[in-house]
Amino acid sequence: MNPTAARAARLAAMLLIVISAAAARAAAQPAFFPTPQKAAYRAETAAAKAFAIKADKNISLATVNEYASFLGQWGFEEKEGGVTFALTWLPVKECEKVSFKPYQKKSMLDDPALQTYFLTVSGSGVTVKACGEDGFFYALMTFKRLYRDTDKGMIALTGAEITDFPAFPVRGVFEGAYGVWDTEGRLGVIDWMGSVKINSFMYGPKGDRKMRRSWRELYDDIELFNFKRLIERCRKYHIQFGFVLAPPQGVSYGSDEDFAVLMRKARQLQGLGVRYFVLAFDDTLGMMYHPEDRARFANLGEAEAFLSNRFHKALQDYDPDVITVMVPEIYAGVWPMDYTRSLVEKLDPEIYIGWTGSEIGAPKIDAADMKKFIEFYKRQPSLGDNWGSIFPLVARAPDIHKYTTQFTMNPYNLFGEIPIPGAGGASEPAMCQVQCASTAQFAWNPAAHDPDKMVDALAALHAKPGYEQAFKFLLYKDYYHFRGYYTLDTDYRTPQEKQWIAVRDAGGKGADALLQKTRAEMNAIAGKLKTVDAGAHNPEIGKSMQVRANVSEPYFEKVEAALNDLETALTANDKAKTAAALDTVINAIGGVDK
Amino acid sequence: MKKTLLALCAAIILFATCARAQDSMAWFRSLIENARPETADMGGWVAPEIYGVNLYPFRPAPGDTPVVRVMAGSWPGMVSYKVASVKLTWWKPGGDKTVADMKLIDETHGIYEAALPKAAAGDEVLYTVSVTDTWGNAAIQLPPGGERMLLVADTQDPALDPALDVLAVQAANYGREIMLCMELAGKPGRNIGADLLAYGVIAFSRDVRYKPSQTETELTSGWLAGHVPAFSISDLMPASDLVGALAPSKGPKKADFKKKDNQMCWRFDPATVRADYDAGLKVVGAALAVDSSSMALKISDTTRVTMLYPVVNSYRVR
Repeated sequence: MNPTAARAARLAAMLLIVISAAAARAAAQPAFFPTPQKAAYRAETAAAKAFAIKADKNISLATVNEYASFLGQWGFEEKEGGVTFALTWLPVKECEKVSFKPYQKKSMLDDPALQTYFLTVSGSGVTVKACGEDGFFYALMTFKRLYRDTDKGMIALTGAEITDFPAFPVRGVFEGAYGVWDTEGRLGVIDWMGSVKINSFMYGPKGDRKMRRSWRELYDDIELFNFKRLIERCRKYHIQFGFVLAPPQGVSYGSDEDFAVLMRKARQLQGLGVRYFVLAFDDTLGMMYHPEDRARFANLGEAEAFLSNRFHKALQDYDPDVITVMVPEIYAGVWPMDYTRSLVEKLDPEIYIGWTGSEIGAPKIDAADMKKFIEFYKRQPSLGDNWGSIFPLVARAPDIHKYTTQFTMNPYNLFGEIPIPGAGGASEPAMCQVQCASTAQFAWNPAAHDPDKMVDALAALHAKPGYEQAFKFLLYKDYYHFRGYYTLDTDYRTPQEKQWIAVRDAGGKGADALLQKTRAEMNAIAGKLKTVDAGAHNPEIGKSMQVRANVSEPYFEKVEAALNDLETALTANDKAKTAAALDTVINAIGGVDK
Repeated sequence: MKKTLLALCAAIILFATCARAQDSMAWFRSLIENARPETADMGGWVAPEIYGVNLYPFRPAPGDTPVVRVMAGSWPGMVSYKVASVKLTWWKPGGDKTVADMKLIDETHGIYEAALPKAAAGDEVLYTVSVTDTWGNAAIQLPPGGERMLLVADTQDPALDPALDVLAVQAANYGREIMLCMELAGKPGRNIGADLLAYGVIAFSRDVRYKPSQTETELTSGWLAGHVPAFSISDLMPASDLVGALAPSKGPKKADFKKKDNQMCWRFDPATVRADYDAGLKVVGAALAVDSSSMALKISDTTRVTMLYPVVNSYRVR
């Protein structure tokens, strides 16, 4: 070999070694959501569970204190020799270079650049760069997912290079159904929301009569104190606390007296620190009760627009940054009519319109739906998805963040309004950790949202060893029921359905093996379902899952009957009956009532 | 309710003999018979409440004149004391503090307002709020940093033995921990004649049980930073553990206790008292004496009540 060739060979070998070493160092993403937009992971390194913070002069004391407080809560000692956090403030334009552009930036919450962060974990050194306090907070929440406790006083820290920002600047949970959570339940939801980067909590339980039926009544001091606790907790987690006021029951839209009463109530909430209001006209018998209103306004849309505009301006007099959303009587679909045309014409453009998609429970939400809304209403919707299942979101297109800044989910079925068998009417804030999880993922990084992966993640998070399959089964079963109720417009099929569809499409090849496998799995799951309440880390979640498990018997009976028919057809080697039986099995597995 | 609280204090001393105290009214009778007028001067254990402290605009920009608005009130469920004054204290890191009166702008809701200086790029401003009611009780936001702050002062009482005369309660916020200090007119003692002495700064929350139907202050789940010299107890303990407090300590100490001259200080994690302590801790200092032969309880001196919020508000102008 000549010297040149030898040198080339050595270089190639070295390059191969370097590449191999780099490949060996790369690691999979630790299991957490929401998935960062861009991330590369490296192997774990050991570090002492201690921290020191080195902040540049532009970092606020609030951020330094926040890091110290959370790290202290997580058991880190403040001393040298552990993890060193280097915090650097970046100009907003640096974050705008990487983050998505918001559809419209008109409020304090609409800027994703302020939530953007750059996080590097190398050995025991952590560098965080961000353009806003929110970005530093989210980096810290991600850091929490990158270490695990090992020996006493030590952690294993996953190396990482992360650039991260949300798709939807406003990612919310809306307590908006007919029940009402208690304060402790809400506090638990807020703690969880903060940990998964959801940044909006909308208080609007229709079960709170002072929010709706008795909207004229002020909250008393005890109620105010509980709101204060919620708002303080929201601040801790960089969450905006929103409040719904629903005055249509009895209000005179044009009355100065009624408006003064309405503002007296709103001012009470503003005094507490609420800066995000929803004026809700939905789900009531939409009409103008008072003759003065009927004489003054051409239609209800004009009356609601008048009151909303006046309300927004009065809120703004107190708080120039206030965000106002109005939810009209027609809050789903796009229906040109006098009512909606009046809204378009009269409603202040600064006011967002609350909208649930093409239906109250939208079969799908995609760009076409969003464009249709924007074209008619001349503004972005404040999107509130009445997703009514504990199963992760499906049929929500990943690009809809281009058409609104806000994605909020109302965990609707928690109150049993949708006839989920066995769900009852109980209020279950703890279940938000299951039902709202995919909102955290979808609203931050919709391109990475995968319902099956989310099911796996939820089972890993919430089910004790041995109960994972039973937990997953209940999620899928809830989906089977739910998709019929919402007539979901989606090609999504569960892994169980896909297996059987593949067998059917292969003319029944492999049916016998899959039949045996399905039976074994079903039997194992059925056994676990009897005690699934004890199989969840969170007893409240376990309790709720048990309610669902207790009504699973008819499902198992149908699947077993279908499998028996298939077995008979296979034994008889009857191709026509086998094909028919396969369809029946697919329907039974998918909960289709045929 | 006051009786319940006093009984709780008394329990520190009395639990040692509680086995023989089948007469459950004994503590209450003792309290009533021995109460001094000064000990009742606390305004029904009610302090004003700071419901909200908010900044407008949300993110001050250069040239803005930020405005702080505070919603404050008394606790109408028990007493009718009114907010007498609301003050805003603001400073820049390392700078001097400025105190300004806040102006009542909404009487219906008790909303007060004060403007901060015009914002300049890079400014970092910290601010806290304090409220005093017509009884003299206070609500105070205490910033982290370890600076000791007077929560409540108590005039010297010549009729009292200096070892039982509480002069002040002070507090310092260390971020993850707070320190409460009680100052006496004299050195704390083990006993005065036949009376055993006990000292405590009670820290409890407004709605210790969290249930909407039970949001009155209850002490059964309060915490007490206490010192009982006769039994060498100097720790933070939950009310529920008081009965076993004289038994040898099984767990780690919950408070770091220091005694120097006429002062006793307890440093502890406020989350021990309640998870969301930012929503407020109610603090009152007390000195007690118990007749060792009859076990009659005497609340010798207490301070007024302070609602303590170990928080600071801040913003940075970008």
